[in-house]
Amino acid sequence: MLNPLEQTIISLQLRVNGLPVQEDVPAQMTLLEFLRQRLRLTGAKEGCGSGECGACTVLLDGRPVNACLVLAAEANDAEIRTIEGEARDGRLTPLQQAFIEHGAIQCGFCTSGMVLSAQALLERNPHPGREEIVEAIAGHLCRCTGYVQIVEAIESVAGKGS
Amino acid sequence: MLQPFSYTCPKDTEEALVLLNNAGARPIAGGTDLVIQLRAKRLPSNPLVVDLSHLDELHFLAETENQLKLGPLLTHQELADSPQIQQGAPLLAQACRRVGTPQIRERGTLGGNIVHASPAADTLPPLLVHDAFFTLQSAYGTRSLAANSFFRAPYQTEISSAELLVQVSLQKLFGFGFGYQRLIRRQAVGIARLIVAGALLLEAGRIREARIACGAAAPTVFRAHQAESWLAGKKCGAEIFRKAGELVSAEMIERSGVRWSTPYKQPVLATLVKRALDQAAAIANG
Repeated sequence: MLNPLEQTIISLQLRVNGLPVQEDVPAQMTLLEFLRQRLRLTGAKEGCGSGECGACTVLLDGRPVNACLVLAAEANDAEIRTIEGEARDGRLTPLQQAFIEHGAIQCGFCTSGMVLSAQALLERNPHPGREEIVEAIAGHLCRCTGYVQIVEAIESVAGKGS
Repeated sequence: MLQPFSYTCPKDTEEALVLLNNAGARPIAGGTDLVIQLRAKRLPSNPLVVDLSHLDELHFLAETENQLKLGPLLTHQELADSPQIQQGAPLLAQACRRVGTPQIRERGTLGGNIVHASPAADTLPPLLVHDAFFTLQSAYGTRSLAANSFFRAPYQTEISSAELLVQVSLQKLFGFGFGYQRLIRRQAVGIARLIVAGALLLEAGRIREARIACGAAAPTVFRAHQAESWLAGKKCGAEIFRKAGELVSAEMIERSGVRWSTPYKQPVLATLVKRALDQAAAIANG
């Protein structure tokens, strides 16, 4: 029988935004809590805590996941990308720039997740159609913009480049 | 904050099975159901969470002449994207493409969807159409159970707490046409209100074999055997499919009794069955 007071501590090794990270974490910690509380990467938000709103979305090995539903322990050996790692040397990515230009941000609560899901789509498929774009952000709630500007921002990047 | 639990990450299935012999052990794969339960503090106190997510041996997709063999750790997204599934089990590919959200599809697994046993689980009606069977392994041995007799009640199955679902085997259906209908309040993040998966094998315009499975219609997913046998030998046609829909609705009521939702679900399920059979017949003819 397990001692109820005993907390499993997991020694975690992973890469976050390209940098190696090593930390001991309690089993109870979610990936979202790990990112926000231990690494102070607060771009990913906790909205619903049940995988419906998408505000906590980060990329795990290149794929969008709800960080509130992933145990930090399960991210051992993984490559995590958060919104903080997207801009390089103070330069926004074309997608981030497009969000600004299209007025696709209001309160900002959904934005980090939206950008990451859209970025993952564009990396998988550089020229998605409107339907694929809408599908890719279907796991994100935005209560401000009505989605149109967000879809247009992603479309504007999808149309460019090779 | 999640409820307190212990965590272990076994290196292989054998070790996982030994760990699952502990009272209160709970396997985790994608976590899209279990973490929600841990957050709601709904599990018995201090469970041992056994992390399967790194076990590559449970993550496979193999094919024999007559079967598709699926590892329980395949995600919904992987199943939706797999050309082998799109070709060999298009109902399953379609069902997986509609689960939850992209983020849920990337994490949620086939095994989790089966064992969690929601009456509205998206993968189950296609699995029943393919006469799937489940291989269950424990530290003491292995057994196989037909999907059709696996589900006891909502969220209850025949699997014991010491067992692990290690393989899902689907019968390939050669020459069949397929139809899939799902009723839902909204497209994203929805839970199906009704699901119909149908398959038809035709011979000279007549139905040689019909398979119809319904989800979210009764306490567990079920095959509508009465309607299936009634359809056998009949000529395809709108009237026949309409009548088959009525028979399926009657089977639903036999299973679930008359509930508050019955006046709605009875005609709607019949219509979904008709649409699924129309789709299946068009594909089987083409």
